[in-house]
Amino acid sequence: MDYGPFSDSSVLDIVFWGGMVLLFLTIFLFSLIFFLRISLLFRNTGKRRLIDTWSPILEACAGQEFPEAVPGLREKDIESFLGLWLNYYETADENSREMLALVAMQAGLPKYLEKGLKRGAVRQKILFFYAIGALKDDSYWNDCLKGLQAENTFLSLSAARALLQLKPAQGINAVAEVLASRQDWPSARASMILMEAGMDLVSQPIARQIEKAPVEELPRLLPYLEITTSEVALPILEKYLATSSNEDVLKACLNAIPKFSSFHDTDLLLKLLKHPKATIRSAAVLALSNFLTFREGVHVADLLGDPVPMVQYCAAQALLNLPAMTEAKLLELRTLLTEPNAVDVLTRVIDEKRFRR
Amino acid sequence: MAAWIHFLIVMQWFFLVYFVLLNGVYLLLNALSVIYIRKYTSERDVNEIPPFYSAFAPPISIIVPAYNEERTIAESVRSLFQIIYPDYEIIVVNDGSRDGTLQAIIDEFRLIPMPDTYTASLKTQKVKNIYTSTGHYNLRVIDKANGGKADSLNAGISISGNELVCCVDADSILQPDSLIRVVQPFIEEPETIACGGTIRIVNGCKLANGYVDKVFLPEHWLAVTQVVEYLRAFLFGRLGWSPLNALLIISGAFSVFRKDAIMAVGGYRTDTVGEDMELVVRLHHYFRTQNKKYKITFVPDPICWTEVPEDLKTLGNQRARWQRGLGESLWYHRKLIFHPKSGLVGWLAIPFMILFELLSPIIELTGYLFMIIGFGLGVVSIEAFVAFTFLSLGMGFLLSLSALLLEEMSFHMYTRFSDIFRLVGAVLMESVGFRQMTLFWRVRGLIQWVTRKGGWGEMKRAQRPASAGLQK
Repeated sequence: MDYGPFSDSSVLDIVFWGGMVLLFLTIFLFSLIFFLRISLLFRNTGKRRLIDTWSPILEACAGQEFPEAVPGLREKDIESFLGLWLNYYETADENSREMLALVAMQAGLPKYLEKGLKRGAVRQKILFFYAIGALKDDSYWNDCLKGLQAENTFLSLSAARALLQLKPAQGINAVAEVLASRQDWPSARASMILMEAGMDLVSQPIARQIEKAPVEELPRLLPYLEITTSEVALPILEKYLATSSNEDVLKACLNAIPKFSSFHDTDLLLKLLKHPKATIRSAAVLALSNFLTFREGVHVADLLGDPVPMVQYCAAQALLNLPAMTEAKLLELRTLLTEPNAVDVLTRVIDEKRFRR
Repeated sequence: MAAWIHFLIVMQWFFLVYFVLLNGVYLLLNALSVIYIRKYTSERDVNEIPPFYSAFAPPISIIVPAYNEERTIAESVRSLFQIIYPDYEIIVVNDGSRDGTLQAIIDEFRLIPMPDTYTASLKTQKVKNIYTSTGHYNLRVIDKANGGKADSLNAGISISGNELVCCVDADSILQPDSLIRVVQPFIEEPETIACGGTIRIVNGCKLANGYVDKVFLPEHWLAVTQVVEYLRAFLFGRLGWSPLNALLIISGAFSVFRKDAIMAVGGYRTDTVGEDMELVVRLHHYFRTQNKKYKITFVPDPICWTEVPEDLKTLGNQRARWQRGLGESLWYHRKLIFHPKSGLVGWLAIPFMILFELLSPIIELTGYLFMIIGFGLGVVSIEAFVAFTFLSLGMGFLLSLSALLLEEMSFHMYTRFSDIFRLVGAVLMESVGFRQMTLFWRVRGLIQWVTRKGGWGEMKRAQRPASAGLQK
C-alpha cells in the first residue's frame, strides 16, 4: 500500500544520499573550522613575531634614526608588514617618511610589489597601492592607471591616491577624468584624497569635469568644489544658482557656497528664499545667514512665518548665525512674532544655543 | 480509510516540500553571506588606513531609553562617553521609572533642569522635564511619563538635533569603535536610511571600565547555545538579506537610522512588542511604495554586547515576545506582500518570514508529531523515521556549523583553542534539544499574538547588577 513519499523507496534513497552528503559536508566544515583556527594561531604567532621585530625598527625611523640592521622580508609576512609600516608612515612627518621608505626598500618590499599587483587578492593590492604611493616608485604608474579602472571601489580609490602621490600633475587629470564616472566613489573619501594633493592642483581639473558633466551628475560633483579655490568655484556656483531649475543642483550649490567667504552676490540667494520648494528655501536661508549683515537679517526673519516648519527652523538657526546676533535680540524679536509655531521654533533655537554654550 | 491515507500523503508531501524549501533558502542565504563576508573582511582592515572618515562622520544622537535601571544606568552612560566618535550627543530617556533611575543619573552627571522647548515632532507620553549635564556638554536627559520603550525612543528622536540617531538599550555595551563602523554605510552610500550591527553575548566576558575587556564563552550551557544561535542569526540571517536590500530586522539593542527617514514614517509604533522590526518593515513599506531610493543595511562588525537569559523562564518569555513581535510586524504590513512595488521585500523576504519564521514553530512541531504518530501507526517505516529525523537534525547542525565557519572566517572573537570544541558542542545542543525547546515558546508567542495577551516580561540578570528590563 502507498503511504506517500516517506515510504517511497526512491525518496528514501534520496534522503539516504542526502544524509551522506550532509555527513560529508559536516565533516568538511568541521575540518575547515579546525584548520582555520590552527592557521589563525600560526598567523597570530607570526604576526606577533613580526611586530616584535619591526616595531623597534620603525619606531627608530619615526624618530629619524636609521637602524643599524634591516632584516629581509619574507613573502608571507608582506601583508602584516605593510599594515604595520603604513600605520607608521601615515602618522610620520616628511623626514621620517623618507627614512621609513628607505627601510622598506632595504627590506626588499619592491620585489614583492610587482608580483602582488598581478596575482594578489584585493586586500593585498590595496595595500600595495598604498605602498607604491608612499615609496613614490613611478615605475608602477601604468599599474596604478589600470587599478584606477578596477571594479572594486576601494581598489580604484587606493590606485587614485597612488597616482596623485607619484606624479601629482599627471595624476590629477587621470583621477578627475574618472571622478565624473565613478558613482561608487564615496565623496568624503574621494575628497580627502584630492585634498591631500592640494587645492591649487585639483581646482581646474575638477572645474573642467563639472563644466562638461551632464545635469544628473551635477549634484554629486558640485560638492567637490568645496576643495577648490574660490576663484574657480564661485563662478560655477553662481552660474548654477542663477540659471538652474534643478532642485538637487540648487541644493548642492547652496550647501557649498558658505565655504567661500568671498561670495558677495547675496541677491542670488535672496531670490531663492521665495523658491516654491521648501528644501531650497531652507538651504537658501542657511546659506544666506553666512553673508548677511545684521540689518539684512530682516529677510531671514520673514521666513519665520513660512508655512513649512523646517523652513521656520532653518530661519531661526540662520538668525542665530547672523553677526552681532545676541540672545537678548532674539528674545526681543520673539516678542514681535505672532505666529505661535514661529515663537516655539525660535524659543527652541535659543535654548539650543544655550545648550551648546 | 482512503481519505485518511490521502490526508497522510498530502501532509507528507507538504512537510517534504517545506523542508526542502526552508533549507534551500537557508543554504542560499548562507552562500550570500560567505560571499559578502569574504569581500567585507578583505576590505575591512585596509579600509582603516589612514582614518579618512573622522572629519566626515555625521553628528549622531545616541538615544538610551531607561526603565528601572537605577543600578546600571550611570555605568551604561559612562561607557557611552568612552565611544570613539568625533561628534555625538547622548539622550537618556527615563520612561517613568519607579525606582531611582532619574536621581541616579542626576547625581552622577550633575544634571540641571533646562528650560528647553520640547517640540513634540513625534507624539509621546507627557514629557515632564528635560535636563542637561553641567559636566558633559553632550548629555541630555528626558524625564517622561511611562509609555514603553518605543515611546521613549520617539521622545529621544523628537529632541535629537542630529541627522543620525542611534538607538541602544540601556543595558547594552557598545564597542568603542562601533559607532564609527556603523555609520560608514551612511557616509559611503547616501541613500542608506538604516543600519544595524551584530549583537554579541556578554555573559562570561570580563568587563573593565564599562567595556568588554576580554571575550570568553559563557559558562552556562544555555548561554553558550545562544552564542551559536546569535551567530547563526546575525552572520547569515541578517548578512544574507542585507545585500538584497530586504533586511527586515535590525535589532533594537543597537540600530542607527537617518532621523528624517524615521520622521517620515512617524517614528516607532508604540502598540507592539516588536517595535524594532516593525519600524524597519515600515521603512521598507514607505520607501518602496513611494518609489524612493533607499538602503537598509547590516554591517557585521560594529558590535553591541548584550546579556542573555540563563534561566528557562526568562528565555521562554523572551522568545514568546519575539515571536509575538514578529507576528504583529508582519500583520501590520500585510499589504506589502506581493505588492507590485515591494520588490524582494514583498515577494521574498516577507513570505519567507511568514512561512519559515512565523509559522515554523507550528509546522515543525506538527512535523515532529506527525513523524512520531506515523511511526507509531506504522505508516512511517523505521528507516524513513530514522532517515528523516537525522536529515532534519543534521541540516540544522550543518547550518549552525556554517555560522561558526563564518565566524572563523571573519571575526573569531573566541580566541582560545578550546573554545572551538565548546562551540561545536553548543552547535550540537542547539540543533538537538534547544531548537525544539524554543518551538514551544514560539507557539506560546503566536497564541499571545492571536489573543493579544502577554507583555515584556522581566529580565533576570545573570552577571551584572539586577534591574528590570524595559516594560510597558
